[in-house]
Amino acid sequence: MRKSAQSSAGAIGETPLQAAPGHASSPPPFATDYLQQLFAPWTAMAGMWNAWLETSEVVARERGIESSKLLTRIWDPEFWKAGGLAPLLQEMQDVFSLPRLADVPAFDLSAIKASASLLDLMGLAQQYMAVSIPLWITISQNFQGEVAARGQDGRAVRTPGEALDLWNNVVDRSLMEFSRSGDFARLQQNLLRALTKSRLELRKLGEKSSQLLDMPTRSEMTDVYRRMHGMQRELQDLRHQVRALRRASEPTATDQDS
Amino acid sequence: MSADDRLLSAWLELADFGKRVAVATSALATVREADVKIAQTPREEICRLGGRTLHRIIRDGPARIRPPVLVTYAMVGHWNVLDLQDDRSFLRNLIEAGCEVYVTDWGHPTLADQFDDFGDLINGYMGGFVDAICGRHGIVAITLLGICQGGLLSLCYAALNPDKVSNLITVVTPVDFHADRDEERVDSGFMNVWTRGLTGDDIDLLVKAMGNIPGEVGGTMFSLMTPLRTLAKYNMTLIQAGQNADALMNFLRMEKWLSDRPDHTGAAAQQWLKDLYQENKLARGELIIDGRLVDLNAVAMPVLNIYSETDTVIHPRASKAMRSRVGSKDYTELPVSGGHIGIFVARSKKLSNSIADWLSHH
Repeated sequence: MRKSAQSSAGAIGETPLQAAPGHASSPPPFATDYLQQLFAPWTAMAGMWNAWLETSEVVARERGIESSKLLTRIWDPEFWKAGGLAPLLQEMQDVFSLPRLADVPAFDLSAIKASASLLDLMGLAQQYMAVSIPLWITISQNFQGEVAARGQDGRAVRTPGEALDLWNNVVDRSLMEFSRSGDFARLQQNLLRALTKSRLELRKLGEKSSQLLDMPTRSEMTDVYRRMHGMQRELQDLRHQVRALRRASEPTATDQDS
Repeated sequence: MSADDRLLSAWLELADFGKRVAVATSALATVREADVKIAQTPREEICRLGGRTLHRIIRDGPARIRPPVLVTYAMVGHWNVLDLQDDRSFLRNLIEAGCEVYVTDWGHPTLADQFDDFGDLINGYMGGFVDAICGRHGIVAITLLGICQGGLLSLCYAALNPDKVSNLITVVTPVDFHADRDEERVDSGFMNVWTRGLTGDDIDLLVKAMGNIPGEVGGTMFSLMTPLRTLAKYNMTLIQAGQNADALMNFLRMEKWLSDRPDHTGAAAQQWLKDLYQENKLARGELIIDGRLVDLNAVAMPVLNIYSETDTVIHPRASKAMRSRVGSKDYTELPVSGGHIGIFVARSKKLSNSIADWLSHH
């Protein structure tokens, strides 16, 4: 459509306002040219708008649906649990990414992602709070239960010291039981993931700074360490081989006797 | 007891508590960091491989018990807990009992060591140290004494190099990392439960992010095992310790050791947590180190396996599982009383004397 619009537009300047010979039965050339001239701008504009409509359809199909789905996730309460924001930003970046253009500066989103990881960590603190409040209520209930049970057994708590000891025992046992529970395991797993992701994002920021200052990056140093380790292993193997060869070449007692 | 009596009792306790806090504070005010010394038993450096060092504990006169003993502690803590103070020194007690003692010092691994795996620790460093000791004494085999993770490394070394180990002693050493499932206890096996709550990918991600596993991670784990003891350490325990100068110094020496937690090399930590804690490969006979299967049947030398029934870190069943796994016909189990660390920092010489006694009969 866009092509036809261009060819029509091109015809405006190229078509001379003269009658073509040998077309006696067709409408008068003047009328045709006039109509062409009258509709050409409208056709060209319609072509352009049509091209933009097609473009918007492509953009909506290729990027819009995906980004809408991603934005919809923000309204899901599950999203605000630890570890949700950083992956979302990564997906957003993928959705909106364009082919790399040599002379256009690249947008660096590493700072945003690092901040997102920190926000995820803060979200995790809320989860800890959500778990710890009922836990302390349970501990208090257990303590009251213990005090009541001791009173019934004739071993009532008499001094603040005894009460403190009992409280400590109840807290200790309850915390140990909680630290072995599935809830705690999930929290720990979330914490570990959030911390490690945050650190990896921060490292990316650090690497950018190192590159700016012409300093070796962590990735480059890790590569050096890996090579060093490989060389140490090879050196160790070579030493073993040399020792074995030395032992083999040393004359044995039987050889000396003979 | 009337309400007035209760109020009076509470008032007296509060006053007593305030006095104890004041005493502890004044005692603490007299101590400087330089006053808190650990690992004071004389030692000499024998050799160094990378950041790892072989020390010899200096003794007067020749050793009564032969061959020499190489003591290997876990990488997650520093070996100097074995020589905490003069009257609570496992290493000093060992030499006094007649042993020639060497110690593996894993040092403080840096990021340059992150690719050191069990192969490096066992065949590289331990192997190098065993060769160095054999060379010094003109012998072909020595006694290995491994503690906790160091016990597992010693066990693996013995399985891979049985001709270089005359006796194997393991103390609070895990072998079956899933044994805690058979007898679940709230006060033991926390590390096993925690590690199994993660996936292998979590551990890989941790190592990728950190390079090495920071010592603080191990410290946090130990704190979580006994939450109240951790919460009460710097109020109740310190105040109690502060009432007596010796007790205060004991407390501070232990704190000094605890604060010096070396990082664990990343590659070895992956094997430790994934292959052992999660997949229990050693007990299942599937652990591979440097391309070689660790066959515990090859551990045919005399074995002394020491464990504690009240160990909160290593479940006693995890240690006792060694009996059915090793090939040795001369296998002895010795239960001791005390905690995972407590058995090494106790005043009693029972542990070192039992080891020396067993060695003198082998």
